[in-house]
Amino acid sequence: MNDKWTLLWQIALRNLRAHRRKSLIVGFILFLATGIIVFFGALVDAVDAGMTRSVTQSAAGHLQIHSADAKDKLALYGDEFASMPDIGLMLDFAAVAKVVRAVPNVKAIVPMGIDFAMSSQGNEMDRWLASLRQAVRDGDEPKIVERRDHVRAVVKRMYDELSGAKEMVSAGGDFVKQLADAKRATEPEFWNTFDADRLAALEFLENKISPLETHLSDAWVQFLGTDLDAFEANFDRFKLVEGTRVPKGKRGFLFNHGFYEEYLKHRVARVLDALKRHRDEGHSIDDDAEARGKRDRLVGQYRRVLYQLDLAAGVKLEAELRTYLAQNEADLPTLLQELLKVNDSNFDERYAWFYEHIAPHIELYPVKIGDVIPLQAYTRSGYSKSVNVKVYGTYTFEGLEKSDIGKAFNLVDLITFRELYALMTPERMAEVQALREKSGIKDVKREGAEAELFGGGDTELEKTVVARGFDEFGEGGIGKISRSDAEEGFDPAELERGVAINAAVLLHDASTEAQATALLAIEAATKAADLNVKVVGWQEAAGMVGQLAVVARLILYVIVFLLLLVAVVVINNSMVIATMERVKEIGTMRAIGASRRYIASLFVIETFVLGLVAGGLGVVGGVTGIVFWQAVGLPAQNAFMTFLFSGPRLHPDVSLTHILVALTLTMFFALLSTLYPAWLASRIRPVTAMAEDG
Amino acid sequence: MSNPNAIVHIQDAHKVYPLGHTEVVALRGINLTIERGEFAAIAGPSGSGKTTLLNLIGCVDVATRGEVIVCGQATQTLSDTVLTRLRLLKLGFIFQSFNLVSVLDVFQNVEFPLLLQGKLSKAERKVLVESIIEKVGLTGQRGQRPAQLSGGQRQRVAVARALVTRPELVLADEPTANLDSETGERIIDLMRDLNHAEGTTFIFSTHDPKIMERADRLVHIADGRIVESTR
Ligand SMILES: Nc1ncnc2c1ncn2[C@@H]1O[C@H](COP(=O)(O)OP(=O)(O)OP(=O)(O)O)[C@@H](O)[C@H]1O
Ligand SMILES: [Mg+2]
Repeated sequence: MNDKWTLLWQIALRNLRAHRRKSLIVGFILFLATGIIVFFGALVDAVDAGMTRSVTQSAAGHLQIHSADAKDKLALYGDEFASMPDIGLMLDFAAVAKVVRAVPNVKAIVPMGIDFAMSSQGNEMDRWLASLRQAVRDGDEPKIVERRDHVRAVVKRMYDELSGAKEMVSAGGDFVKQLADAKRATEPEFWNTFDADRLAALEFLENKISPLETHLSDAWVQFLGTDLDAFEANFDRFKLVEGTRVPKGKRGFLFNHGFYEEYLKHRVARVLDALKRHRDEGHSIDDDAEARGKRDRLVGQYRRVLYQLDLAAGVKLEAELRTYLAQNEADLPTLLQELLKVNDSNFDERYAWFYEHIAPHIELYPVKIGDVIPLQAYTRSGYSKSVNVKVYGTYTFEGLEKSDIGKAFNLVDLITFRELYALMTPERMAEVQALREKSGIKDVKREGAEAELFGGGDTELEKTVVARGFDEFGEGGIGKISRSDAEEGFDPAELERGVAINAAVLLHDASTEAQATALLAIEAATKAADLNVKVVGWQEAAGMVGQLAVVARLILYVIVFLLLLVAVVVINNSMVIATMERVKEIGTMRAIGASRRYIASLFVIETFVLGLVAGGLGVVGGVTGIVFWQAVGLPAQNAFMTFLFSGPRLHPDVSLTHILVALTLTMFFALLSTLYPAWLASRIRPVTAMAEDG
Repeated sequence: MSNPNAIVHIQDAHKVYPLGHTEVVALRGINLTIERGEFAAIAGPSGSGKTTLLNLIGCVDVATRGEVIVCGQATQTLSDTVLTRLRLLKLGFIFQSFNLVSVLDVFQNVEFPLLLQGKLSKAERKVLVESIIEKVGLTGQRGQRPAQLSGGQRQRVAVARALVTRPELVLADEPTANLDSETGERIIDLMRDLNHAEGTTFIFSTHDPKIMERADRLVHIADGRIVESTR
């Protein structure tokens, strides 16, 4: 009895060979489909895992907790409008932390808050004016004359440049008005009378001229306020690049290294750096539209060098540039522009020349490690607030140096963060409450306290707080910040006791199931403790970014589905054709006594064998591809891919699951596409065997 | 069914083929009885209905009207499954264009119906298949594929395949039409020998008067009717 089926297998195998064309077409498609599913399945999984590492090990942790009163959804890396979502406040982080730490599988909870602040680094004009003011204050006449003449030269240059620049004129009404006001400072009259009332003249310059340059140099920084020690201990990717860690119990700021290099560094230097990186990666400037654009705009940046040169440096550089560029007539602005006209053939030389001859005379970084910077922010109710903080160093997320997420945050201690946004600790709340009671106000609500702090002006409360050095805003200027304020320490326990906007929870077992379990457990525990918080997985917390893996997977599924659909159509077609070609033979078998089932089985077996062989080869192909890229590492082409790959190269891994899923899918769809031809074959009537033709 | 010795009994069989909007009437009231052991030839001009009649007898098609009883079964009432079993167990076919399974060798082609029947062991099959291959004179070619054989050899394989199951009735639609006359006569002789030796009933159609002579029963049809039936 079984021999009849053995023979069927034999016929099927031999038919596969006899109908070589059909077998090759169908086989190739099945091979391709299986290979693609294995390869891209493994790749998407690797990207998913990479992205998971990128997000969870940089700042998100596995779960995020925030107030249940959130108006918006938490989006750690910004939402689609690139604004900070309002996710409410956890007023008593200590209480939340206590409950969460007691939940099984929780490794750590790190408080945080993310926001923007303006880094009012001042500008070149400010610095020159400050040093002139200092000289005036010191009564150092030779220095006053030198600084005055320099300021005069710079003002003239800047005015000429700005009034000639089309893009500036189109910047709007305010600017045009400011420019008109500033005209006076370019006239000989102004400078002739400068010595008569130096302070008035300085004030005019500070008020009217400085803001002009600000148009060119407003910088917003995004930063994350956190328990820096806990952050460093729990986010594996954290790595200090320059400087030192912020000492325990000290307030401090860590620049993101990529941000520091690519956004904060002197514009000309960083464009040159970017072009150098581009060329070091083996590209040429001419080949890349973005690089060409950078190069073309570089020439116009010469002013940023020019304004920073003092008179002596200007004279020296002019001489050096004349020799170097062999242009003996040209003045400094022309020479600088000429120097910055870089191209693929002169780039390396000009780059080296810039760093050797120009860099020593300019400020490569407006903020240096060890500097104290004022951070100016707007609280959520719109009040402006400024806090001074010392920059201890720069850090990076290892492997994510090139990705946008790796550059997303600068770090600051949570105490500074709270002050900047007036997120008060219970102690401060009590303090405010006491002050209020003293001044006759009964109840203190957070919003009210904030308004009180920044509002109206002359309540005792405000005076007191400002007097504590709590508020430096309004004084402005880097030179005036006293170091002791910025380096004010705090009791590390204060980090816990107080407000956090959100908190990252890190787990021991970070598998998807464990994560889901922990999420539910934390939800239950916080609810039982009446904590009014919301727990979300990192995918959700990361905002748009968190959905990327889902999107990538979806795209893969769609591609695979389309591929399989094409496979089904092609297989079906060629099988139907094969059926038609074999009508007589099948009719004969039917006439001799083969059942319909037997005939249908023949076709199914043919596909099954073909699917197994072609699918097997596809698996070999896909696995080979993955193994190859695993060894070599798939290189990330850009910042986004660096993020997806969680490093400069992706080393995908292939598992039995990928193979089984791919084989099952192809086999299923192959057999599915055989159903109709097999049915058709089983319907071939035995009478066709009698037909005399062919 | 009056004649207990009849293997085929046809009464007023009509076959109408739909052809587009019209119909082609292939058989118009056939009455025919074939007895066991007969060596019967159906003769008639092209288009007269010979193939159609053999199809009805061979249970690969059913009559539009009238009764066709084969091996005691009224075919028009039977399902495809039962008809298939009937063909498998009781009938043998020899085709004009041989119709061997191209991917199987001589031995396997002959063995095929036995495998479908599934009644015999491998050893029993081997004995049976080899003896019938010897009878048709193809022992030397038992491992060859149809494509390697001549027309006459192929038809011998077909004869062996038709007879290996010891069917009650063997149908052959113009078995010699694709063969030269000498080879054709040898095939008919082979069939005739088997008819004598085994008592198997043969019904075959032919145009060839020389082949008709070999038959002991001659049924002449024209235009879908039996015009003469001689023994
Ligand atoms: N499947 C069919 N559909 C339509 N008409 C058919 C079909 N089969 C046969 N016929 C028609 O039925 C009639 C009888 O055909 P049949 O094949 O039985 O004749 P035949 O005697 O076998 O002829 P030949 O000697 O050419 O083989 C013919 O007119 C033929 O055209
Ligand atoms: Mg015919």
